[in-house]
Amino acid sequence: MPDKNQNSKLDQNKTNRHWKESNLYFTMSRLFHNKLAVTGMLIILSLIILTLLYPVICKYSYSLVDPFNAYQTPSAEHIFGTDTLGRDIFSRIVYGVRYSLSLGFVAEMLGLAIGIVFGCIAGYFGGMVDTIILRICDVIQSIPGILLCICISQVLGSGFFSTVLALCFTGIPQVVRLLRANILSVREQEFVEAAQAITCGNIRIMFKHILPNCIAPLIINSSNGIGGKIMTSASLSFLGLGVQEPLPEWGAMLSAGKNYFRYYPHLVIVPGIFIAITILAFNLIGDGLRDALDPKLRS
Amino acid sequence: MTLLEVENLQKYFKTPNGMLHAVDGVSLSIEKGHTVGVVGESGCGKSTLGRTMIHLQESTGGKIIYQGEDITHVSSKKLKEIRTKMQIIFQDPYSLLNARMSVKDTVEEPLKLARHLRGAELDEEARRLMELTGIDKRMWLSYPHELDGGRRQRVGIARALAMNPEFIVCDEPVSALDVSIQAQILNLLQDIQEARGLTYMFVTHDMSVVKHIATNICVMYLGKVVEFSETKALFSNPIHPYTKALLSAIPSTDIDHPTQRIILKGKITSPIDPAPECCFAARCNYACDRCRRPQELRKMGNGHMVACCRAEELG
Amino acid sequence: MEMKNNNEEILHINNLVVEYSSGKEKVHAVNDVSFGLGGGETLGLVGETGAGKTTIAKSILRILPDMSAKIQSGEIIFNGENLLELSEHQMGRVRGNYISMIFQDPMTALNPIMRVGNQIADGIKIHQNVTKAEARKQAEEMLEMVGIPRERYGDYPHQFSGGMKQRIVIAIALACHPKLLIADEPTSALDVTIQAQIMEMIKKLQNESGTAMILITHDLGIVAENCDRVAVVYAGQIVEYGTKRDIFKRTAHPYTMGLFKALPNMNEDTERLMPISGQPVDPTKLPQGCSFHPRCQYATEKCRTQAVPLIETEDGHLCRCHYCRENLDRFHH
Repeated sequence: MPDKNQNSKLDQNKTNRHWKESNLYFTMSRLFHNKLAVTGMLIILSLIILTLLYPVICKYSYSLVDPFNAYQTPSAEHIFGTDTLGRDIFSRIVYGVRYSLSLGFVAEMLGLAIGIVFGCIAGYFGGMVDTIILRICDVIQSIPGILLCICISQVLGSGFFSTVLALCFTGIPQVVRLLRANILSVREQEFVEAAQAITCGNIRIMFKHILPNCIAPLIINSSNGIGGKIMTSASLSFLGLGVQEPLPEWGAMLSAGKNYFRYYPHLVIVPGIFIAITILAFNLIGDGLRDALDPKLRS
Repeated sequence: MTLLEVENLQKYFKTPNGMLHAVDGVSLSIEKGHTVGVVGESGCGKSTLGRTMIHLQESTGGKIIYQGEDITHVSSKKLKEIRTKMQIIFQDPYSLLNARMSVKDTVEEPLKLARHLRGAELDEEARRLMELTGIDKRMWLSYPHELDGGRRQRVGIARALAMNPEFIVCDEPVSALDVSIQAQILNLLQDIQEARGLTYMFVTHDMSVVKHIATNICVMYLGKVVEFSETKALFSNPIHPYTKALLSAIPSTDIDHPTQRIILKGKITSPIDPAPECCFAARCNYACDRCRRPQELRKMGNGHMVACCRAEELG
Repeated sequence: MEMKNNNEEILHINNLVVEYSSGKEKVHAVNDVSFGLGGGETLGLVGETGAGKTTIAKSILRILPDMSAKIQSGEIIFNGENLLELSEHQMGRVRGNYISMIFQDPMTALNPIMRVGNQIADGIKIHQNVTKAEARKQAEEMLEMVGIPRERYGDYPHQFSGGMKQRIVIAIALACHPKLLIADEPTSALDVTIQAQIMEMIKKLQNESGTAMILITHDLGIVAENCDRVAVVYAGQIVEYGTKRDIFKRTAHPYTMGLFKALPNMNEDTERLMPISGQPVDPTKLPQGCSFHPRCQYATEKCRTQAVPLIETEDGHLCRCHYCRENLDRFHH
């Protein structure tokens, strides 16, 4: 049936056009034209590949103790040298990528999810609920973030998941506030009233009409937030509260090397550089996203 | 036949300085198939009146009667039913559509939600609506940012029509559009009204537009109706001093016969907790002692109603 | 193209071309616009959104955004000087002192944390080199001229209504008695009754000081009541130019005619409006030939291929249409 064929072709054209004109395509093309953002993404991508290739590229296990070869400076055998127990720093750095990245990512996403729920409730319903949620946020935010993390880690004990919880908890109030403010302005727009008029329920209005229009700032916030979370998790490990030995967390490596800084600076410099580069990469992506998602720049 | 009637409708908003009387005791009845134009200046409560009448905002007091049935206080189930009968078309082409939904999704949403159409039936009905409102097939999958003001307004109209309403509040649907596009939309609204026997409440500040489209006109000032009349009668014989000033202020395109302007002096009365006197007295060129009393809307014959104590001498 | 004016010309724009670049696309905002303005005269610039009216105005004051806009060519002769060749410093003296502008939105044109009186006095102090006390005295006089009691000199913008704010904006614009006032939709944000007051006041002040004015608006009623000459702008070009009588009574361009037909008429009853078909032209892709031909019901092959110059239809009445003389018969038999 030629008619039907033609129709399906037309439909296909439509879908192509649809994709090319969609918001996502537009944002992505803008993001990929931003050199700094692409650099950031390449850094993160290569870190991930590196840690996945750990069994292939690392000759030594991250936990292999070799006291005879302790405190080695970088050489062909040990690219980044060895630490106080003679463990290969390169292996530890490569293996540690997974902890730093997943800590930052999981904590941020969990915080985002919880923050979105409370932000929606506060912004959409307003009134008493709004006040209560905001005051709780005030309380959380009035305690310095790192102190709060230390308290939570102390209570929950150290380890991966308690660190994730501690990190995510401190990030929630910011998400709630950001989302609530956005919802308040979107809620006033006429299409929300129109949605009411066509008998949409509260939940549908919230998730179909309001939330998609508030999501851009959250994405930017999260991208920058992951960097911050990695930093905080490194700080926690540095203080001995995060991921525990012998697992190679960068902050813990930094902490372990700090006493030998004068004689073996590579113990501190190498993990320090990796922490800095990772955070920089996330911030670059965040900035790129901010530009790509800015509706004012849209033609 | 009277389709919709409001009696002494009130809508107050709480502000830090007191109660803002947005709609302050409006009584109005709208005949089926008519277009009632509601005119007035910004902040006179005309948009609030429209939204309160169709239950988009809860009224503070008064009665709303739809086809003889009191719908002022209804259950949420009944509310859904009412909403399919009454729709609204908005002013701002930039905020009337959800930026994250395509034209097709926007028009199909009410069909799915309220009329429970699925599959081929849904497609068919959506196609019919788009044709009716003049939305090109090419634009089905477009997003609002790709459309200009006039086309967005068409999508907004299609969305409202999808509910199969009997009554539509048009809240300044053309004031943000250019003259040439404005004419297209006004014609479209008239065509649809004819085809579907709709009743409109047309809220606007543009007197020439309302003269063109309305059968009756209701002039509002500070939350109150000051004059209600058939369109021709209002333009040929405005009675209320405010209506007179409003009509005289319209710039005329006839360069040989410029309008004689009535310039209003005096301060605009605050709508927050106003005194129960004539709301226009402070700016009125005909104000007298009797204006200190509240002014009722009085019948002047031929369905012409005026809220002014000197209506007889001014008429 | 010579445009005739009886009074001595204070402003003459020759072949102005302005382009905006956004990404890879070029927006042809103003394409070869020329017109003149006599002292004390009012010229109305009429057209739809995006026609290039505001860009023309901003080019005169040289306040286009540096990043994206570029004046490609043309001359703007004001008082015998080409404004486009002045240094930024010299231009600063011209702005406010000789040419000032009133913007559309009075709500954002005033500094919210500065007393309104001081905002008026500031301009006077900078441009006229007078003492603080003298500037204050003049500012108070300006306030009274626009109908605001001088006691309110020390009030802040939020204490005034929209109409009052626009009066203050006008006071600031006229404080240095400029030779040319550019009013960009000065009343479209205001209510009709307030709009009438403001236009009345601008006209009065203009007559008293002999200021010339360019009035940008989309409202043909305001043009009919306030302008001496009218230029109709479409797609960055003047499509029709003439005295008010030429434009309103001897319309020669199909676009101008279309605008009149599309307007609901206050004086006659019309059953249906006659919209101009199609959509306003996309300034990134100007059509070949006459830029109005895709929407024109009289378009011929000639219109689709040949660009149209401004043709002098009648004495001083210019029109950018191949068939402008035929149109006169067609529209006004």
